[in-house]
Amino acid sequence: MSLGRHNHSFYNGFYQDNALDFSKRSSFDRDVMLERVYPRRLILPMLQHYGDECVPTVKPGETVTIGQCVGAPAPGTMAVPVHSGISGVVSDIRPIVLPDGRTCHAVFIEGDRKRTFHPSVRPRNNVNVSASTVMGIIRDAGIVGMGGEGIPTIVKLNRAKRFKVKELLINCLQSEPYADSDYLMLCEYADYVIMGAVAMAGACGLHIINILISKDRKNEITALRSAMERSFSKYSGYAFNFIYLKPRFPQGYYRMVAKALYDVELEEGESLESRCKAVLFNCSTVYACWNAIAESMPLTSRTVSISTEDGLLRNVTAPIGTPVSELFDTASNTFNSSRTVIWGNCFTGIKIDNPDTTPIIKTTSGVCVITDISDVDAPCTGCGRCADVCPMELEPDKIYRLISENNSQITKKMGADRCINCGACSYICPSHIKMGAVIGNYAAVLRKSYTSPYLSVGDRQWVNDVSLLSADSVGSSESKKPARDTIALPFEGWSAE
Amino acid sequence: MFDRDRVVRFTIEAVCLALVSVFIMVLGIFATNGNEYERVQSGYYETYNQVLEASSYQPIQSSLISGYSGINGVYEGLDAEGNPVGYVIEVEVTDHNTGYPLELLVGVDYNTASLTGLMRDPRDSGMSSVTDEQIGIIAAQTLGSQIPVAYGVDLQTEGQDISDQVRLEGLNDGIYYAQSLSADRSGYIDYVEMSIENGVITMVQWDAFNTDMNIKNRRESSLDGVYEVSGLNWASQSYILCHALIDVQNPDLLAMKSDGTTDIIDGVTVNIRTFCNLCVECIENSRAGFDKDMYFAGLQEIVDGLFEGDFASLGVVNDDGYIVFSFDGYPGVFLGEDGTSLNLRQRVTGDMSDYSDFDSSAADGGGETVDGGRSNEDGVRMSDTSYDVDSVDGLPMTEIKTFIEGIEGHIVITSDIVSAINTAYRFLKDYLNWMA
Amino acid sequence: MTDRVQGPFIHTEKNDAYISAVHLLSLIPVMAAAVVYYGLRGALLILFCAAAFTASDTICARIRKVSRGSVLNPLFCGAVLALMLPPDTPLYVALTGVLFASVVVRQIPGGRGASIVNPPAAGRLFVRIVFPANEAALALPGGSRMSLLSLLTGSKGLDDIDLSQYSVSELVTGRYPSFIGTSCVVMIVIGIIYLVVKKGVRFYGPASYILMLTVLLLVKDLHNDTSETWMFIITSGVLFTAAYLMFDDETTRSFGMISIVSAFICAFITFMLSFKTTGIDLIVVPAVITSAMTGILDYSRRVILSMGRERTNV
Repeated sequence: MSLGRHNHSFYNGFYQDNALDFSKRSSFDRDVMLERVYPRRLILPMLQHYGDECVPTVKPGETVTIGQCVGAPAPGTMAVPVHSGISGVVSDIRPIVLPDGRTCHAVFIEGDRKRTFHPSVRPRNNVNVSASTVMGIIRDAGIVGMGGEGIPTIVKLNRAKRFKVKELLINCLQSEPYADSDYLMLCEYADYVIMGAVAMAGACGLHIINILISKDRKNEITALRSAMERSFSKYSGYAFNFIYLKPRFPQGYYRMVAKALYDVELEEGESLESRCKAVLFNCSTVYACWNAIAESMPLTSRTVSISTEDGLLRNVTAPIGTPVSELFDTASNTFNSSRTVIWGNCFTGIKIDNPDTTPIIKTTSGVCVITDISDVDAPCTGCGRCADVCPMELEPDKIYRLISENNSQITKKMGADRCINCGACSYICPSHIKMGAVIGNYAAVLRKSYTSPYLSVGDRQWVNDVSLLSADSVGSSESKKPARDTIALPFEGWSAE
Repeated sequence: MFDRDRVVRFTIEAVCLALVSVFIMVLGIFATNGNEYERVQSGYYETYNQVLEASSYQPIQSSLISGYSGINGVYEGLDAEGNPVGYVIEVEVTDHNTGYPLELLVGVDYNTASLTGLMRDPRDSGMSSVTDEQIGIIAAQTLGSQIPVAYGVDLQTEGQDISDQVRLEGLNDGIYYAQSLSADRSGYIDYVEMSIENGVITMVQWDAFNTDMNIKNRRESSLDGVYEVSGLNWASQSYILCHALIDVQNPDLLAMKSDGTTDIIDGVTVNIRTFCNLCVECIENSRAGFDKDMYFAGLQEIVDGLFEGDFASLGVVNDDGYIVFSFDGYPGVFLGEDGTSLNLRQRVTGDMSDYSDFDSSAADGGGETVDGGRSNEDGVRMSDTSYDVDSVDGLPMTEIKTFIEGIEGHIVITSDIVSAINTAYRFLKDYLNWMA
Repeated sequence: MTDRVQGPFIHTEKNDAYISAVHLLSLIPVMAAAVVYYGLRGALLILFCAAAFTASDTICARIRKVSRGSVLNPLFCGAVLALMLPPDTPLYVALTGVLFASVVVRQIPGGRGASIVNPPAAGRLFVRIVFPANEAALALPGGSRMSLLSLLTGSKGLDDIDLSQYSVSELVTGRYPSFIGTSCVVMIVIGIIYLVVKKGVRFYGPASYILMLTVLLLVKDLHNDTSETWMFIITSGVLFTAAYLMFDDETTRSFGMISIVSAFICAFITFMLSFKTTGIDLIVVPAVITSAMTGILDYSRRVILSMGRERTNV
């Protein structure tokens, strides 16, 4: 444990009005936090992560229990398993379209209200497991980046080892307005986060663990410090640091972290691991890892912030796959489904039309109900506020105008492809011009030519070493020997065939 | 655009801002009043001390000033104890040579009513043809003298030899009067009052009162700008004409043309027929010894006769004592038995003697040719030079305190500057009840 | 492309109408000073210009079939223009300036947000060029408050205004002949405070402008009487420029390094002009030139950033 370093942010120079500091807008009623939701049914998409779709491992009519694997990666694909968060009967398996536009199969489970756990879900007696065991647990528990990116955690751990990173960064920088789930989790499960971080660092061979957090988060910092003191004897040899960053959106995005901490502007194709020798995990991901290690509980539920404009702000722990409407039914008796429902948070979320058929997935940290914004009938006033807040230091007003004029050459020169679609420009625009979505989609088209760092050939080969992805490992006898040396995971014994 | 809460909030902020602003403004005004007074006084002193020496100057705030034609501002000069020492009047008159305004500062002493200073107002546009030198000439002639001022020579004070003048025979001394028996289209009844001393006409006054007694007489109306004629105002023309008659002593020598105008008197453009007729009647009355009192008595008698009642109850006497009565509706009153028209004297006395057949004799053998005592119409001139006549701007000659020579060869300019001085006098007299 | 409706689903409370309202309300102190000092004709001049600017913007926007934006903005622009006029300005002169600002400066280049230079400043400069005699239509504050005649006929105004005759307190409270809204620094400062507190403008730009100008003037007056510097700041109307013309966020931004660079340029232009001219020139000319240069600054910044990125990539 050490003293923190202070007040980093993604702006290096002149510090502007912190227009994107939403920390004052996320005060929750602590008395009602972390309600647990017991939905009547689940809709479990087979694609809840960055990569390929899983294959359902159950059939309609089959009985499932809590923690049971219902979807597993097909050989040679980049995927992680999916597990049931309730006990019940599989009612249907059919394709669905997720709000973000991806299509995949989903397993529909009707709950039996018995909350029967899978026999493999039990506290681990001895948590002193080997690095390879930790990697296996994390892989098989289906853990992905829960901050929103959805990259399988095992992939990042492997990359960290490959690039010989020096630091493990715990991302406690949730910064979207009304979103508070990570902070709540930090207060309630600080010990899990500390221990999870130690386990993950140990798995990667690291000794430096940096906790990235805003200095305003005094309760969370206190909770983490207390957890460190309680667990100090268990992690000797690991150095914890608090690094304080300014509370502003989207500070938690890995590119912003690179800029704030290392003064590095990551280009397309670069990652924190390769450029900055650091690996970044969301605190909820770390919690999920330790939950899997200590409780043998795969990733079946997560904390979700539910916010409505009439002042309701509540955090619930809900099984992954819970329909959005059931979340609201739990949170509020006055939920009116005629209002606009947002899948995700109010900055980066997506409007959904049918909350009954839309489930939360592993990367969903919040759902919101808002009143439709009445558009301000105003032209661009050239005020430049969008350029002021753009974390990528673009000039969204000018880019938006150039895109409207189909001037692709200059648009590219102005760095349109670097847009991360954070929506800050649209938020700040006094004329409510929705330039963020336009530029973001345009940037996505421009970036198609780039290769993702997680899908590069080298990565694939390396990931194969842990028997997760590569086609050439399929059928290999060695790859059939996962490091399941000490524990039995819920899907142990399952065969892809 | 805004929800109700925001509108309320902005409204409250706007009201608070306005209140705070006004409060601070009022505080600022109170805090700076002293500075402003000193600075303003300094500005006043710099300018007005040139026409009136005083410790401070106080602007007279009155709506009357803005409504008073020719007065731009009036300031009261005070001594160190706060006692009034005089007035500074900002006067604006029209330069009749150019038509542009001429703005002058006139300083008047409070106790003696004498002129303390005369200069061009620093804010004068400078468009008029009047030079500072010309103003200085008039100032030199008037400083220390009482106002009002008239230009031209005071006949009595100058002791001018009457024998030099063209004089009419048979005039009896006294004050004679004649008025039109009918009103003109504007309701004015013209009258002429003439003083004769030693057989010489020494004063002539031509004015007209209105049948509507609420309307000022024509002279005042013209000075107020209500009664307008082409050229100089009517009051000025009246006095120029009157003094021309004093100069020539004979109305026939005024060279009235057939259209009632004359070419030989500078500045006079009005129809002078009525004036000439009334002057002739006054002269005849003089010859007949029918003076002003007799004229009034006769007129009163005739009106009484018409109404067979108490004259006082008729209400035909105006504030100045003139009998305001038009005989337009009584055509037979002044007709003789043979149908000839009678004047009032003839109507009252029945004396039909011909007093109009008078001869004139030119002084020193006469440089001018007078045809049978009557001037020819249209172009007969008394001399090669125009008359240099003075002006008293609607003020009775009896009020004129000072006569000046004026600027030689610049009658109109002299008239304009004198008019400014007299306008200042009239204002002080009329609206400040000064010297009452 | 998809038909997904993406975020953000919330917006900052400081939308166009809010900002325009803050700008307009920040003019209340100077408008109060104008009305207190110049009475009815001051009030009518402000109302007339504001209404005329709004009407002109609305008509032009309808002709071009584009959105005019918040009605409060043209009201603000018209009022700012009026506040820079002499109190005895006839309405036809004011209308000329308003139409130039609205039609030529704002609408012809493309409407709100497309102006190259600050519209009120350009409109006022146009009046100064076309009606130079009108610059003398000044009057003593507090006199003829009920008079309206000058709105039709104009006035020949005052000659030889010697500010040295006025006390500091009179100069600070704006009690000297000047334009109706630029003289009272106390009221301007109240307006600036309101603007900054309500985030209608950020203080970096205006503060840098005044600071830089003060430094330049102090250096100039170092061996003389430095009180001249403060007199200049108080009476030249540069505070009005800082508050309402320079950093409108439409033609000149009030944030970041650009605002500071713009402020320095504007201060330097003002400083240089102070040797040559006085009056309205010192208020509007620096604002017009600087707002025109903002585009160049923006472009330069983009080029520099672009070059920096390319170097990094290499």
